[in-house]
Order: sequence, then structure tokens, then C-alpha cells
Amino acid sequence: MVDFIASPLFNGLFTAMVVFLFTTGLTLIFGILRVLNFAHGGFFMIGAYVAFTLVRAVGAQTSVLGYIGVSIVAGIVTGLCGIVVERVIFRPLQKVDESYSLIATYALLLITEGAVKSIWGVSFHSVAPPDVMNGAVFAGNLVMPIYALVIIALGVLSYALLEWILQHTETGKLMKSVASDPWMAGMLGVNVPRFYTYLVVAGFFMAGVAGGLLLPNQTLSPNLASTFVIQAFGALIVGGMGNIRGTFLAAILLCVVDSFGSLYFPAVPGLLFYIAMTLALLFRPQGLIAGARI
Amino acid sequence: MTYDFTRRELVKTLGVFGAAAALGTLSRPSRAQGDPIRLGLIAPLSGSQEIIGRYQLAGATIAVNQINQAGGVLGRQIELVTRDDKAAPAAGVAAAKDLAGSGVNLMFGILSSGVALAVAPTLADDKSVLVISAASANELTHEQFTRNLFRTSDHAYARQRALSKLVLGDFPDVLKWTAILPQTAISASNWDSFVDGMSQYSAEAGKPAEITEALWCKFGATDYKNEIAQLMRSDCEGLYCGVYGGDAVTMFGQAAAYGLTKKFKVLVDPGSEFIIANAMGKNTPPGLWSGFHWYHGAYEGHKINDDLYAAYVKATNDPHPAGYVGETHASVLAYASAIQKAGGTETEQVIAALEDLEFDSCKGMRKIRKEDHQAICDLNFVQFGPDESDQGWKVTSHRIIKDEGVSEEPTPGTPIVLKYKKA
Repeated sequence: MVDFIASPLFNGLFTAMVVFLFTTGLTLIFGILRVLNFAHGGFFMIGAYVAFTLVRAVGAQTSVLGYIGVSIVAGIVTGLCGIVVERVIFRPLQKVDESYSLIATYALLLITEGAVKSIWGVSFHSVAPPDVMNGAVFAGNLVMPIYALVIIALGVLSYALLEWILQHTETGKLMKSVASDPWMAGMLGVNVPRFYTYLVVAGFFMAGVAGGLLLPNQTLSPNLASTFVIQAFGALIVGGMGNIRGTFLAAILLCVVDSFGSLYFPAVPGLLFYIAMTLALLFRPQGLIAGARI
Repeated sequence: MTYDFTRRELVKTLGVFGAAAALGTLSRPSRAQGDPIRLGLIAPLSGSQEIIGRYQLAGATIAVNQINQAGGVLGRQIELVTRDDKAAPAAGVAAAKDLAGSGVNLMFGILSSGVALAVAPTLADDKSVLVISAASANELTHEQFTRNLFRTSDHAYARQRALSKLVLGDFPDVLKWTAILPQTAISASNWDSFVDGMSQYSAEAGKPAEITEALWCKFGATDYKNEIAQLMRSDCEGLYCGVYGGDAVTMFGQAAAYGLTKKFKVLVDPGSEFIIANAMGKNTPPGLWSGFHWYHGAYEGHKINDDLYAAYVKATNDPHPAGYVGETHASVLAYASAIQKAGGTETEQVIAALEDLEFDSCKGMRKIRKEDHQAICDLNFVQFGPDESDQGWKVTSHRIIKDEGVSEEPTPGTPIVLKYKKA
């Protein structure tokens, strides 16, 4: 029971929260700006490298507060990058067809990879979780690493916070109105260009924070940018193309199914992820949560 | 502290290699000495395997410089011409065709077995010779054999059987083995070869090994927790970790919380070399044995080894050259010996000279078998462990296994036969 249900369920939930944390900034930017940001992984990677540099500077991650602090600093760095990207790339893309954003942001992804190689090189690096997160909780045969429990908690908290902001605050209502009709929002006095800048900064900040938070889970290399691309775009599409709630549910659905697949069909790892995605699109082509942006 | 390809010195030194590679040629000799001998290096100089390509380029460049400084071959200097295969078969074929079209008929390098298998069938038509410096697929000297292809590095069958011989010698009572493998053809080939050796040598010792079915995972997976949980339930004592390079770092990092490295008495890795230790530092799995193309520390006192190591460290400030450095270096030395022996660089002349060639290299003498063009050479292994130094890890042991009956008999044109592995 534990080995064949609880363990893959737990591991699937962990991966789902990893994917969700990675995808939040991507979802937010696509939901409002309709820019499919292929470079999102690049800024996630830069966040991870900034966090790695900070961790190495102090020797090792020793406390949870330090771990979160380092991640926030990484987010601030990528958020600042977001200001430049919004001005130079995203703003001109507002005036052209959405398909141009694919080419422009893919080019940006290549630039981020080149920048990482120039600054940090091509070697592999690894960072362990803070000492207090290094162990595991044992429930019978079920092993739950503390780091995984923290990531699951952070994923759920992030979702709850975003939901609260979107549904219950003035900022959230403003975001929905701009996403729904930017022209009308502008007519009613919203400074839409500035709003877009804030939004891109927020999206890039989230990418950087995710890079820092997930640093102990992945190997650092210039290939990190594309590590989560398939899962992230899968969750984004199945979730309803730019809907935070949909992305959250889709990440759980796809990753839990994939986790069971890796246990029961080990000869074809990853296959169930694609089958689940295909079925979801066949039966819910509009996405799990349709009709509403973000 | 860790030494890696990330620091300023490396950017400066290998940046020089890289810039020259981008222009297509390196070590351009003086024209006053007559036409240079052009050797084409095909390596992943960009993409996910760029880090390995840089090692290959460094080894080749050092060999060419050493030969040129010693007067060249047949009174001619060597010119290195580089092409990027991106570790992708299509790009590899394009690179080989481009070299052939540019009049470079003598090629070497290639990291990926997939690339080598794609390039091999094109060689005869292009009248080119390819000396493989790393790709280890058994098929290259068996069912995909072509007389235009040679391999101066070790191959999967020899290395993995030697690894099984090593662990059985050191841990004769660890007889229950399992594996975690990415879904790639070379991983399957490596594991099959390891099991073949384990079955043979354990049976010869009178204690037959028990091999449990391997766990398969996605190549480039981001999460290994399900596989780790299954390994924790295994009653095996030996773990063959076929997950390679950066993926192995991810897996061992995620496995720490489970205590995986403490559960297994012996951990082996087919060939990540310094990658895991360099990346993990103090968290390096204790006692991990890793296969090496060439480990410089095992050949101290051998002039070619010492000169190569000194030149590499001088150029890069990195005291831990990967085995790929030694393998491209050896391939250039093989060409130099063959050209000297043949008295020219024509394809047929060089093929004839490479067959049965014996030459000295950074890891001692190698002999290229005439029948299947596979070099018989030493097999190197290194054991790692964490320590309290700034680097965070140390080499706890290293071993040379001589290829005395480790490799199979040459059977070019037919698939390799695993005589001891049960189906």
C-alpha cells in the first residue's frame, strides 16, 4: 500500500509543486500579456546561479531563513532583469502577432544560456539543502525528505497567496481587468504600460525565487534552463493557458500520473505524462479552468 | 575549493582554444615547412556536452603543439581543424562531410556513440578515416564495423567487465547487484557488459553473483525519488549507477535524505570521472568507484602522461583533467605514428598503418587490433570520497586493470556475444 500508492503519490506531489513554482511567473505573464515566454527557464536558471554564488560565498546553507533569504535576493536580481526585458523585448512584442514572441523569447533564452556560460562556466555544480532540511520523516515504509515537505508546503502557500491576491485584493482585480481588456482599463485611468512593467518584474522575480528554492533539487549547469520546459508548458496548456488555478491543478494531475507511471511502467518512463496531457486536451481542450485569464 | 571550467583562468586559456575553434583551425603551422598535415577534430563544442568537448579540444591541442614543437611528422607540421558535432548525430554527419569536403580525410574525436554510429557509414564513400577518441558503443567494432573507423579509446564491453573484475576483487562477498539506468542504448550496453563480467568472474571464484533487474529512468530526468524509494527496498548490496554526469549529481543529491549511499556497500559508476565529486564536494558519495578514460595519477613517472598533465595544468590551472583530454591526445599520437609508418597521409596508406599499430600514450602502450580496429589498452578506475579540504573530496584509491582477457575476441560485422550473461 505505502510502497505502491503513498510513495508515488508523495513523490508526484513534490514534483508537481516543483513544476508549479517554476511555472507561476510564466503563467502570470502569459495570462495577462499573452507573451509565451520561452526565456522563463533562462531566468529561473540565473536565479539558481545567483543563489549558488551567494551560498558559496557564505560557505553553505545552514538555516531555513538563509535559504529563503538567498532565494529572495536571487528573485530581486532576476526581477531587475525583468525591467530591461520588458522595455527592450516585451513592450515591442505587444504591437505584433503573438507568434513573434516565440522567436524573440527563444532568442532571449539563448542569450541567458550564453550569459551563464560566460559568467559561471559550463561545469556542473550542486548545493545541499540547509542542514535542518537534510533529513527525512519516516511514516512506516514511506520516506518523506524534509526538503520535499518544505517544497510542497511552499508550493501550496504560493498558490494560496496568489489566489488570495487575485480574488480578494484591489491589485488582483486590476490584474484581471487589464488581462480582460487593456484598452478599457487604460480608458478608466490605469497606466497599462507601467502595470505591464510591474507584472513582468513580478513574473521574473518569481522565476528567480523558484531558481533559489529549487537549487538543492537540481544540478546546476547551463542546461538547467530547459530542464522543466516540457512539464511547465504541459501544466500551462492543460491548466487553461495562463490560469494560476488551472496550472496548479494541471501540475498535480500530470506529475502524480507521471509518478505512478514511473513506478508501474518503468520501461517507458515519462510516457504517462504525455498520455495524461493528450487525454486532458482531448476531453478539456479549453483547459482544466477555462474562460478566465489568470 | 573546486577546480572547474568556470574560472577566469579557464575562460582565458580555453577561450583561446574556443575562439580558434570557432574560426575552424588551431595550431596553424608555418607554411615555410611545406603543406601541413590536417587532422579534423569532431567534438561537442556547444550544447549540453560542451564541457566534454572542451576537454577533447584541450587534449588534441596539446598533442598537436607537442608534436609540432618536436619537428612535426615527416618534416611536416600538424594543423588541427575543428568541427562542432553538438553531440547530435545529424550535426556529426554534417561535420564529417564538411571536413571531407574541405580535404581533411583524417578525423578523430567524437564523444557520443549516437554520433559515431551515424558518421561511420559515411566514411567509406568520403574516403575518410575516423579514429574514435571516446564513444564506447560496442557496435562500432561489431555490427557497424567499417574498415575506415578505428577506436583508440576503451569500449563499453572492456571497461564494464574490468569494473566488475575490480569490485569482485575488492568486495568478494558483495554478490547481489542491481542498477539504475537511463533509457539509452549505451546504458543498456554498459550494464549488459558489467553483468557479463560479474557473471563470469564470480562463477570462476565459486560464488555466483545474483543480479536483480535494473531500474530504468528517463534520460535527463529531474526527479529520481520513485527510483530511489525502490532502491531503498532492494536487498542488493551493490549498486551500479548508470545515470551519468549531471544527472548522477541530481540523483545522488536527492538520494542523500534517504541514506541511499549508506545502504549499499559498493557504489560504481561507469564513467562520470570527476564530474560527481567536483559538483558535490563534501557531499560526494563515499567509496564511489568511477570508470575513467585516463587517470593521470595512475601513470606518474610515465613521460607522456607527465608532460600532458603539466601542459594541461599550465594551460587551464585545473589539476583534474578529465580522461577525455588523454584520449584525444592519444588519437593524435596514433595518427602521428601511423603517418610516420605509412610515409604519407593518403586514406588507404593510413588505414594500413593503423591496423596492428602499437603506440605509446598517456596511459602506456596501446595496440590497435587489425581485425576489428579496437585498441587494447589499460582500463582506469578511481574511487572517491568526501574529505575536509576546501575541495571537499579526495581520490581514495585508483586502479589500473590490464586488458588481459577482458575484451572479447574480435568479430567485426557481427553483434557482440555476451557469453556469461544469462538472458
